[in-house]
Amino acid sequence: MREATEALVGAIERDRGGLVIIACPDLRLREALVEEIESLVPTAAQAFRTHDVTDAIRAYDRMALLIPTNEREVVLDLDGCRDQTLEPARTQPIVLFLLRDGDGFTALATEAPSIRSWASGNDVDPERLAEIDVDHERATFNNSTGMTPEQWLVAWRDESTARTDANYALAARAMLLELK
Amino acid sequence: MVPDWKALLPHRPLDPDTDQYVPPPTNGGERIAQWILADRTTVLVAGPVGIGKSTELARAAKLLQAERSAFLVRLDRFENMKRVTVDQLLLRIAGVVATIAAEELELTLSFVLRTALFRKGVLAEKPRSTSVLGIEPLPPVEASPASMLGVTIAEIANKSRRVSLILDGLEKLPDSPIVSELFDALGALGDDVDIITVLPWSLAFGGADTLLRPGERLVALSAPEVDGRDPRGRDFLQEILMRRLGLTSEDIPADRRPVFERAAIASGGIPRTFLQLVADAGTYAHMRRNDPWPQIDDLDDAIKDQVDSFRRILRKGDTNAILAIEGEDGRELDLERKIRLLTHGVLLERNAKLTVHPLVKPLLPALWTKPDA
Repeated sequence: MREATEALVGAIERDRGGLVIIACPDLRLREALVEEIESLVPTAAQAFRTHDVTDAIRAYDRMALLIPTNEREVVLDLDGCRDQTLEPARTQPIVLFLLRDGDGFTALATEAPSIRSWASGNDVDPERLAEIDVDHERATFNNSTGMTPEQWLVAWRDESTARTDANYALAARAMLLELK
Repeated sequence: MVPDWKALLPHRPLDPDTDQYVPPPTNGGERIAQWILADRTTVLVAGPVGIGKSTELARAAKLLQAERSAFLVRLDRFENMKRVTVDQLLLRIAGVVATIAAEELELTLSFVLRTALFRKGVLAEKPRSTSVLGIEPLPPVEASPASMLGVTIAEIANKSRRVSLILDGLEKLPDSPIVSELFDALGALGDDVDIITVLPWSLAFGGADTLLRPGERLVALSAPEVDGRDPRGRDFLQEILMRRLGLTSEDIPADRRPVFERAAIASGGIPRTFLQLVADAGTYAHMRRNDPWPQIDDLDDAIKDQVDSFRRILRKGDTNAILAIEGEDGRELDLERKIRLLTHGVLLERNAKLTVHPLVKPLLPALWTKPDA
């Protein structure tokens, strides 16, 4: 099963200096998703917000959180300038936030195949992925770890569990399934 | 050996001097070079996203270097291809060619020309006079970009060998008059220069073969078959993977090898999609189990990610249109839809027939029961 946070982290991790697209159901949730990304990424990524493609490309060693004011124009500019992110080689991705049913995704489909191709498989709709069958997923968690999410989180929270990428992802999954 | 999945860089084309190049079964780079060396002056290159056009152009540039002054000009590394003008493109080509001529071929172009290019902002260093007396004629006040490019090519050809221009990035040009204006300008350079260029999407899949002029050749890069008995397509993709990871196939645990075989089939033969699937599956394996190698479950989720991506680019009416032409030659498809679906690789061309990409098939239940031909 793909879990929303895992899919987000996976998209950011997959291509060094690549492009990640986050699908947002509406403007309010877009802000929440930007904040979630800011909380997930390491400090070393030096994540910053911008609405300008040139700024995003120029800061090749920082994670650019690209939040468009005009989605179509930003998508077209990314398509037109795509290969400028290759020299100097980016060390951090550009994370583009687009409304799920907005002009940005339409432009990707109809006018910007090059940049769409780069992001293929890296375009995540975390809200849609979060719509899960909790009982089924708790059982799956139990089968794979031998613990309930609550039991696993006890060890995580008293810091007796190693802080690896895999465990961070598992912690996010356990918290999602934790019974409050 | 622990694989570094981030080293795959699915979005990065290879450079001419790389040792990671793997010749595809269709040998695009070699075909391009062979046509030029057989005295064709123009080769037009077409293919869907991710097929390796930039890599094959770089390969062609490398192969041509023995007999030509070959210049690989990756225009999209300098210009916003959605907003550029024809004059900017011609100047940029001239500037890149002049820079490569100086830095790699050690050719010194005239002070007049270098000064003119510098003033146009396409040459980084301000030229210094090479005259023994320190006196050089002043550059002309104004020359057209087309003539400056023509002069650049002529000076190099006089001092070295025949010039081959290999132009990458033009596929991103918008569907507007700039395309015909640019190709007219390139055509006006005459037969003293070879032009190898990627075609804009609208021409590549909009009947490019009917637009060819005498001496011109279209090289269509297509995905190799990966789902049949012939293993060459799958072997090609897996060899790319090994070169990018710096590993050999023996480094892959035997029980995980089916993952890569299946990723090759799911990719439809598109190298970028294959690398994305493997990188995605490898990242899942690392995050979930700190496992250096992906399992089938990880690949399944990577496949779902790609299927979701394809779902987002399908427009109203696409499903019925795809079902209607699957296995046909596509002549019934309206042009806008045909260009869009072929460009994205939703439809793949094989033996003059259109087939649906394997990652799109899960979105088309009507195809699930259709027996394979």
